[in-house]
Amino acid sequence: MSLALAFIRRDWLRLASYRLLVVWQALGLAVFVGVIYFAAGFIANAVGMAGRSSDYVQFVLAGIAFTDVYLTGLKAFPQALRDAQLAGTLEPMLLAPIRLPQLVAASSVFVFLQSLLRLAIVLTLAVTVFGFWHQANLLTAVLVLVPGCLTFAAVGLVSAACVVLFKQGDPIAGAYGFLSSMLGGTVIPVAVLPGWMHPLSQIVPLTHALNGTRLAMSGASPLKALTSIAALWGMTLVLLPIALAIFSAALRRAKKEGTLVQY
Amino acid sequence: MLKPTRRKLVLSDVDLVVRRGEIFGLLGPNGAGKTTLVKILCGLVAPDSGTARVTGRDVARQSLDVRRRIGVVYADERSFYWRLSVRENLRFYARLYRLPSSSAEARINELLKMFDLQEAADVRMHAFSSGMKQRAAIARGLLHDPEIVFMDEPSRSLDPVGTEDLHRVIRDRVADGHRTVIIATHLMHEAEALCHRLTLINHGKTVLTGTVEEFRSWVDSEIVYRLVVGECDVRAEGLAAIPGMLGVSVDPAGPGAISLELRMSRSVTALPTAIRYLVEHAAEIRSCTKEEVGLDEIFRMVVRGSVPRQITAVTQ
Repeated sequence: MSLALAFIRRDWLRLASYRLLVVWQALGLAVFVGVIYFAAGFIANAVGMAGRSSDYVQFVLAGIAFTDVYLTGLKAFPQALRDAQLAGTLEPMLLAPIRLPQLVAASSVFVFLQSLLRLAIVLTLAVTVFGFWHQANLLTAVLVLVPGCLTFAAVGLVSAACVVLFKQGDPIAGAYGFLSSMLGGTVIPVAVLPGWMHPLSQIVPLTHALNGTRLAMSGASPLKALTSIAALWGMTLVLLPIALAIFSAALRRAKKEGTLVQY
Repeated sequence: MLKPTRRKLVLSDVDLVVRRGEIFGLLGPNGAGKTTLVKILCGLVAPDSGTARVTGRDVARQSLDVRRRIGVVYADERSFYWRLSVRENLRFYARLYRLPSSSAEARINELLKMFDLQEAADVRMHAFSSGMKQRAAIARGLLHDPEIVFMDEPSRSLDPVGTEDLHRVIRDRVADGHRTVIIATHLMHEAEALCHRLTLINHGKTVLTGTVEEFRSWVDSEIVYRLVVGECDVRAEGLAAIPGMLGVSVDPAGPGAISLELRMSRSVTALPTAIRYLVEHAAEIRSCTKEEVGLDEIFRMVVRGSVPRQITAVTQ
């Protein structure tokens, strides 16, 4: 815990040292929510959902806000490693008596917290300004969010393994993130995708994560979201050990080649 | 110890024992394998074969335990968060080393004072000079009071004054008599100024290990003294008869003075007898200088491969 707090403090101080950036990030978020509200309403009207435009606004808002959290799981580990490589701080950190997976996890906490803060702001605005999701079931949301983040973190570990081995040109984060967003129903409902895409979308964790999340936001009990929850836990149990094995193998190889701290 | 990087052999046949409490130098030309050796000893690079022990612990199998006992000081200035102050940087690393908050603050203040960084403690590090960054790096390396400190080219980006200051800091504050300090450097004067013992590494192999004096005795069995004395009744034959004297040459050294070159064996101390001889013959001794092979000359001999084979065999 104290390790995570050290990284949170470090990252906060670094972020706060760029004051204008903090202001722009806060403003950007508010503008983002407004744009989503009006753009989604416009699109819904344009495609003939005039009477149900707020349904689509909720769909898009939840899709984008929660996809941001899930994709943070994908990007946080490789980004933390890459930042440390470029800043030249990876080597001194690796010399501390801490295991690398612990180090990577702790150094990603702040990015996760930032994404959760963004989510909290979007949800607060959605509830208080637009009057959405008053019936949301928080327990269901948490039960979906945890395995959802873990599956993405598992893929993120594979992506971090690529950073350890190849430094740049990681094919995982970009390609997987793009495919997930396309097939997982972030802004386009899976139902309206071409038929041949449906089986593909079912093997993408984001599909189940967003399904479960949207159910939770509409007030569904954990039982009603059981299919999504079970699918996500199943994926977590399969992906996490594989990802840990790949990451460990990458570390061993980098140590053998002496390239661990190269960038 | 074998370490191939992209199929290139970096180190082989490295056999070293460093004694507790000494300042030990890893000296060698660029690319000799010094940094790789340090990284192996710190557990950042895994050797293909062989073993490395630090304070009796295997660096591969007991990596965490080893890392608790070592501190590493880099010449790379980028190893800090420049947007943070040195105090915040040290706080962060203190947490990584699991120092309790209360003792960490006291230790950080102690180190800031020790390395003259108190006044700049809350200034962002991007405003620091190279010398200040280097002192901060040493402070970080000592945060957890390690038994062993590794320093990789500690004076790389420093000017001569900064280098001299750094050497004083290393001698007086880092090496406290109990702590072992291992310095990797290609600077002969640095090794000579700081190290009790050192090893010369070339092409990934240890070539010579010993004190600077031992190095000299291995590559050069003679000591040469050059004296300038006032004109007197000194005969070369008389000096040459002194036990341990290997050769004497006498040359004029300007009006009323002569220059004596006395070549002596290292094993027999002939200088006191020679001085007594000169005094007894009413010679006014104006200067006496010892001329010996410098470490840089030994270094060049090693790099060129002109160190006698039997010497390298003995020292390994």
